[in-house]
Amino acid sequence: MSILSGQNIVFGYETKPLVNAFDFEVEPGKVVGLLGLNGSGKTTFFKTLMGGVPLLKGSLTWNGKNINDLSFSERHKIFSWLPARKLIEERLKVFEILTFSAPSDVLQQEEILIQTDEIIHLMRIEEFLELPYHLLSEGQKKKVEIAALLMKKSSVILLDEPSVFLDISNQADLVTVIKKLSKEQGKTIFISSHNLDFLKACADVCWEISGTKVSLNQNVDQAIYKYSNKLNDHC
Amino acid sequence: MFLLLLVIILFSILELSLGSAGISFVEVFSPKDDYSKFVLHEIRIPRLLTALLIGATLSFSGLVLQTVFRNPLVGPSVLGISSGASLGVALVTMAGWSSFANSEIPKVIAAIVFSMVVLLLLFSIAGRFRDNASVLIVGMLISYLAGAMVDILIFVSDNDALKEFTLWGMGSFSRMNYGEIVIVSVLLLIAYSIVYKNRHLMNLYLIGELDEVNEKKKKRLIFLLIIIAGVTTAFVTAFCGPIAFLGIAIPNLMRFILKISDHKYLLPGTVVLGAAVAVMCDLLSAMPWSNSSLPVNAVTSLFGIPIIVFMIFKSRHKTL
Repeated sequence: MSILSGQNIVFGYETKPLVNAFDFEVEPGKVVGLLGLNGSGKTTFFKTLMGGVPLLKGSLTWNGKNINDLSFSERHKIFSWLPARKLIEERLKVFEILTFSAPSDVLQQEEILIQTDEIIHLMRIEEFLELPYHLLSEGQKKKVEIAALLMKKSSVILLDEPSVFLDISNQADLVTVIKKLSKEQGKTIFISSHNLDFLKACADVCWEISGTKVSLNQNVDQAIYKYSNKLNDHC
Repeated sequence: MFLLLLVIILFSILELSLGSAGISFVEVFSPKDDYSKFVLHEIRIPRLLTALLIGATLSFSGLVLQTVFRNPLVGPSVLGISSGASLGVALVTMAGWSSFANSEIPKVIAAIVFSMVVLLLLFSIAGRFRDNASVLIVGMLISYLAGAMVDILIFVSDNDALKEFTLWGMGSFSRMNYGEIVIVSVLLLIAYSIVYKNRHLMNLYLIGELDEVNEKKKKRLIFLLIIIAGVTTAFVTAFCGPIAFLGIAIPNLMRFILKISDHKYLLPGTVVLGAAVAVMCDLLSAMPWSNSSLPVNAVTSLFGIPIIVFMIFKSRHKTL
C-alpha cells in the first residue's frame, strides 16, 4: 500500500522542465535514495514536494489526497525538508533552534520539552545544547539541523546531502537514526547524496535522475554499482 | 521582569520628584498648591509618560528590524526613516512655517509625511531586490540623500531656524501633550499585538525555516514587520526628534540579560526595558543636581554606544 505517489509528474521550472513525465509509488517506512549529477533536479524535486516550486504536470497524492488540495501548513506537517545549506541566525543557541522548530500550535510546552529530550538523545547533541550556532563545527551544525528537522515529527522527511561534513562514526550514527525512523516509526525518507556508501547503507530503493529521465530501481546495490560505473566511464 | 517593573516605578517617582521647580518627594503623591499641581500635571507627568512610551516604542521597533535583517547592529535609524523625518522638519523650519499657530503640529506632520515618503520610496526600490541586505543598503543611501538635502537647507538658512532645527535634532521627551501620548500609545499597542501574534513565525524565520519553500509567507512577514517598525519610528521621531541608539542597544541588552532569543520573551522584555532605560536617560539628562539640563540624545548616545561596542567585542571573542 503506497502512501505517497506521483502520477505522470513533471517537475522543474516553467522555462525549463527538468524531467520527463514519470510515475512513482512509495510505501511508508521506505527510504528512497536519489542519485543524480549536480543540477539534475534532486533538490528541485524536494522543493516541489514542499510546495516551494509548483508542479508542472501530473499530480502528487499523499494518503489518497491530492497534495495541491492541502494548505501550506497541512503540507508542512506532512513533509519536512533539510536543505543542503540552511541560513540560521548564528547567535541562536542549539536548544532554541530545536524549540523554535517544534510545531507549537499542536504541542504543549511540556510535550515539546519531552520530545526535545528524546531527539537530543537520539542525535547525541547533549554537549553543545547551550552553545550558540556559530561556534559549532560544520558537522555539529549538520547534526543540530537534522535534530531540528526531527522536531517537526513529519511523516515524510526529505534530506539533502545529510552526510556532508559528518565524520565516519557520525555517518554510521545517522544511518542508525534513519533506519530507526523508517523501520520503527514508519517514516518515509528521501535522501539525495553523492556519498554512495552512505546511500547503500540506508536506502531501500534508488531513483536515478540522468538527463531528463528518472529511473526507479528496486535493487539499490545494483543501481549504485551501475551509477558509479557510469561516472567512471564519464571520467 | 518583576524587578524591571520595580525599577520603572522607582525611576518614575524620581523623575516626578526631581526638577528645577523644587517639588518635594512627598508632594508627588499629594501636591500642596496649584503651582506644584500644574508642574506635575502639565510638565512632569507628560514628560514621564513620553519617556516611557518612546523608550518602549524605539526598542520594540529596533528588535523587529534586528529580526528582519538578522543583524543585531540594526536599529530604527538605519532605514532612513529618521533622516526622512529630519528632512521634513528641516524644510518646515527653514521655510519659517514652524511657528505656525505656535505649536509643534507642522513639524510633526512634516516629519511623518517625509518618513512615510522614505518608507514608500524604500519599498518601491527594494521590491525589485531579492535579499534584505539590499533593502538595508538602499535605506542607508536614502538616509545619506536626505542628509545631503538637510545640509543644503542648513547652509542657506538663517540663525533662528538653524537653532530651532538643531534643538529638534537633539531630541527631547517634553514635546508631547496628553492627546498625542494617547495616539502613540494606541499605535504602539496595535503594532505590538500584531507582532506578538507573529512571534512564532519570527522564530521560524530566524532558523531559516521559511526560506525556499515558503517565500510568499516570508515576504509577507518581512513587509509587515518593516511597515510596523517604520510607522512607529516615524511617529516617535516626529514628536521627539531622532533619539539615538536606544533602538539598537536595548534589544541587545535584553538578549544579554535573558540569554535567549525567543520572541515570546524578548518582545515584552525589550519593551519594558526600553521604557525603563528611557526614563533613566531622561533623569540623567535633566541633571537633578543642577538647574540646567542636557539634550537627551547626548545621554542616550553615552549610554547606548558602550553597549553596542560591548556587543561587537563579545560576539567576536567570547566563546560562550
